[in-house]
Amino acid sequence: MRLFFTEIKKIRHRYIWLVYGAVFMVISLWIGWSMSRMDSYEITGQEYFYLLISLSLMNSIFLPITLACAASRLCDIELKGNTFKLLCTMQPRHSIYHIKLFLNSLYLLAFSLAETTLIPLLGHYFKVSQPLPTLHIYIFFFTTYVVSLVLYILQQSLSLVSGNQLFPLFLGVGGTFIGIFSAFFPSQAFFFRLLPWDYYLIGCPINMYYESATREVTYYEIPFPKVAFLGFLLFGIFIYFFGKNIFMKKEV
Amino acid sequence: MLLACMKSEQLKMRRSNIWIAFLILPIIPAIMGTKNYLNNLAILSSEWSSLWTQETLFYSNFFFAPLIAVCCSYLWRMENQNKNRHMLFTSPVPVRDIFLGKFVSIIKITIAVQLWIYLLYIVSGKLVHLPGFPSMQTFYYTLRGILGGMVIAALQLAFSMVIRSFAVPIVIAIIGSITGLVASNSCYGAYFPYSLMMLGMNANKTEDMLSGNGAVFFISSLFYLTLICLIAILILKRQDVNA
Repeated sequence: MRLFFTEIKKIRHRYIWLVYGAVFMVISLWIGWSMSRMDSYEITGQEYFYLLISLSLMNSIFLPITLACAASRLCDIELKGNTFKLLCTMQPRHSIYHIKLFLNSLYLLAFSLAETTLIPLLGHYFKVSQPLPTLHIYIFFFTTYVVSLVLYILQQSLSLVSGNQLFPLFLGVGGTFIGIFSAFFPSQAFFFRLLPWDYYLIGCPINMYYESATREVTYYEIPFPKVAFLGFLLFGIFIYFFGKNIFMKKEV
Repeated sequence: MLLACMKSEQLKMRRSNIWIAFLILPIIPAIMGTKNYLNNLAILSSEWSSLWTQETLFYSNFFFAPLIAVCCSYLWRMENQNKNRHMLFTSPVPVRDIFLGKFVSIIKITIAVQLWIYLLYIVSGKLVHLPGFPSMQTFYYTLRGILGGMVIAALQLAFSMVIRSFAVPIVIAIIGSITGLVASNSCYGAYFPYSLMMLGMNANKTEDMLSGNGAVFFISSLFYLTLICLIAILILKRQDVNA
């Protein structure tokens, strides 16, 4: 607990909450704006499905780079001040890794909850006719939180072990890019299941079909890909142990 | 003295391996843009022009600003560490040249990445057996993209100079990209710095988005470029050097 409060003191003026807050605001404004511009007949009876798939898409665009920025900001304190040597004499080295991970997992929990709450709020505001798909909303929350956490572990490991923050942030930009383009291809494609940044869309319980002749979009439910997600979780566990191990062996 | 500043910036970047990211990351839109083009041949019937829209749409919208922001943050990071700002500002170098030296480095990267994007576009077009070569119009769009990109680069360099954090200017770049996308779809696109790249690259439509409006784009770009550089140099002159 003492280490946790120390970490909170360290990030006091670093405004990490503002990074997540700004991204949440942008996503909220964008989704609200797109809902208000949507002709009602286009998505009548499927409004919540539209919201779920749009938010998953926006997460895959914005969150990879946001997580890279948050990880960089959280880990940069020690790197910039070159204080690892000092810290490692006073506390177990793994605790530095774990406290940062725990702290950011709280930010992620708040972000995921806020985004999930946004769905019924928007539904209420725009007076949608579709009944609230509770199970799908739970799956959306689970996907957002878990995928973000795994991606954060990847980013934090990289930020802690690399002296300059270029590579982790470039990886975040690359992840964002992959996220954008994966939306154009079927998420069931095997190739995209190999890319961790694509799991926001793979874990989305809704898919869409565009009929080019009539220019109509139909949203439909898809089963949660349990096997693929299990593989993704195993990847997350591997990255956690691998990243932590490299950090433990890092020369300070 | 500007030349000396440019050379020293070159030295500072020498072992950063920044070029690897600028070499690899543009390949992603080239591959995926081409694949998307092939998947939608029924709708995308304008061959080279259609391929151009697919490869550059997201690059200029979401990608360029954060990418160049990382680079700008890196350039200022060195000065923010180990009291390097103190050393830099006590050296007999005009403040103007310190900023411009960094700006020239960023311009060089912008030009290189734009030409790389164009080369990838030609290669991917040839790989999918498009007839002949693209019109000179797309090369003109690339050059216009350089001008728009320079405005974003100058703005990000100024942000990284003022905000002594590596990540925050990148978040600003992401938000700028999104607001730029919204602005470019309105009639005010040419007046918003983050939209200029997208308008210049003509990334959204096969017909020229700036036809009849080209002068506004060039004047706006040059205006922002001058204004941002002047403000940044002024801030740098007046700012107290904190470690």
